[in-house]
Amino acid sequence: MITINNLDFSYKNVAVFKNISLEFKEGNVYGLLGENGVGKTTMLKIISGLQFPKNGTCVVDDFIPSERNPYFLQNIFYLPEEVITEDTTPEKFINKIGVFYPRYDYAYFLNLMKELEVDPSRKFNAMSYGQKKKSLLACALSLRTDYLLLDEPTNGLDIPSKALFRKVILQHCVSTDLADSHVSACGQNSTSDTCGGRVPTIIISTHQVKDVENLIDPIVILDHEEVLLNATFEEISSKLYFDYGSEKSDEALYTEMIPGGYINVLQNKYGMESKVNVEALFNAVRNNKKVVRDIFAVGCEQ
Amino acid sequence: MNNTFDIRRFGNVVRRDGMSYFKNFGWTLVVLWSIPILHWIMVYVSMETSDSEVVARRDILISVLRLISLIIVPSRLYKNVNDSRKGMLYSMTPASSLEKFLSMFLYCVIVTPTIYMLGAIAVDTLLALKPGTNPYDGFILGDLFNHNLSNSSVTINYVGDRRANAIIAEYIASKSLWVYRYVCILCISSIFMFTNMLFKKRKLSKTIGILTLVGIIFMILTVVFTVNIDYEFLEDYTADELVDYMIRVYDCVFHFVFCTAATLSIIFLYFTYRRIKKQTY
Repeated sequence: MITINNLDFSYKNVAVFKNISLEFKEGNVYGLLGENGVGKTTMLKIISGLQFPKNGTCVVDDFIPSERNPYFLQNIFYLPEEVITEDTTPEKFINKIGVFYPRYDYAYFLNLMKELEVDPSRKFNAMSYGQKKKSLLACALSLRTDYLLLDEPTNGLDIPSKALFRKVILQHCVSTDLADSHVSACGQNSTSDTCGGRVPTIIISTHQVKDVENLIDPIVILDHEEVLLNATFEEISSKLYFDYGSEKSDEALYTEMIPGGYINVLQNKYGMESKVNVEALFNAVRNNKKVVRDIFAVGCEQ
Repeated sequence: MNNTFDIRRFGNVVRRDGMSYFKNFGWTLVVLWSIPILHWIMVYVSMETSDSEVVARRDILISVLRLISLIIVPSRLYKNVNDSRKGMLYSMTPASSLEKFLSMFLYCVIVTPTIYMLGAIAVDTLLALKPGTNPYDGFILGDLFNHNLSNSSVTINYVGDRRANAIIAEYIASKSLWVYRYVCILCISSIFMFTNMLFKKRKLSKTIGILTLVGIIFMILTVVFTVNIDYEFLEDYTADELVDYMIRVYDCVFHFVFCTAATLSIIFLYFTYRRIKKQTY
């Protein structure tokens, strides 16, 4: 589990987070949403130990990321938004870094590359941006880390590739033979500490909410210096009602015109069921920060 | 397995850095090595008439090339380590900061000079095996652990008196200067390792610029200091007293340079390790 407590962070004099507290529970695919510059990437970097908090704590499974303990590092992988590749092929690249990860699975990597329709023996330099991104995604998934942090993973992907992305992420999470492959990848000499495979926790930071709408649950919405929302779809739909109708509602926290009518985001006073629209949710939260915080009143203790 | 150091993990880091070493530095090594090899071949061809000084020059040649390599290696191998985008993978590699630092130390301080020494010994040995009289007498091999100024063709006039000069030269020759040489190698490497972690762009030019500036300041201070010394007292010294004095001066300078180089090495190596540990991206 990732626990962030009273965390402050700033770049020189520009405050990014002020006294925020947040939890990421195991085995979920979190959607980390927020406007440009609210600190989504910074949050991922703090969790992966690439940035250090100014105050407060960030703890990942009893490890403090800023200490860069090797056991912590072999259980987490951060895939940045910007594709940076070496003058090599994906298979050479993954073999080079894979040796450091006890649950790295080369066969799984090859399967993923096949599924994502990228040739693992082709040089990165000869690939398109989307192919590079898919190759690196395959690399990241094949390391089988407990925590996988993906920063804008669908940026630059074409429509079929976005569908493939969702497919491999879902497969990765529900893979039933995960534990078996962990054991086989670790070998007989490995200890349970390094081989205790778990259902991975994935945090996806993105602007493209529609690309990951059916993938993420729970959702974390960051705002300037604070966390606006950290809730599961179940919690969201129990507290907010997404009305797809032909008319605008005066009571709506947010209204948006959609083909054939409007989508109104209302407080769910009567316990009605509705399908969460992440984009509308995001705008509703952004425009009614205090109201939404009062409605949820949990998850983001400021 | 240990958090700080684990031999298997360290082996993986060394292997990864080794692949990078030959990929990023291999061609530079080939180019740099081609210069002394060409020199050897030329001397070999004209060996019958070669002067032993020509052969001795290869020591200087090797030293210069080794110096160039020591300066280049950190920025070639670990160029992107402190880059805010490209360096993330290095930092996220599941190995401790100590293991990463020791691997860096291994390639920058040990492997590079060793390649030059082994190469020089190998070529010298091949040439020494040539039948007949030739000037290859294992000079470089002996020089590795027995460096002294008497090997040099330069005759230094320390005090103007021939006998006194000989005594001073003998004293200096008796010193184990090879330690001094390796401390200097360590110092140069550690400076360039640290500045490679410190500067993000134009690492070499910035470092060389700063070193030149420091050198100029040091020279000015030395001149200012020595100009004000009254040397008239030396005129009253006998030759033996002069020798004693010169040996004391030599010892002072030697110890000052040795201690400074050793201290600087430790400081720069420590801060290189700190940079690896605390670098943010």
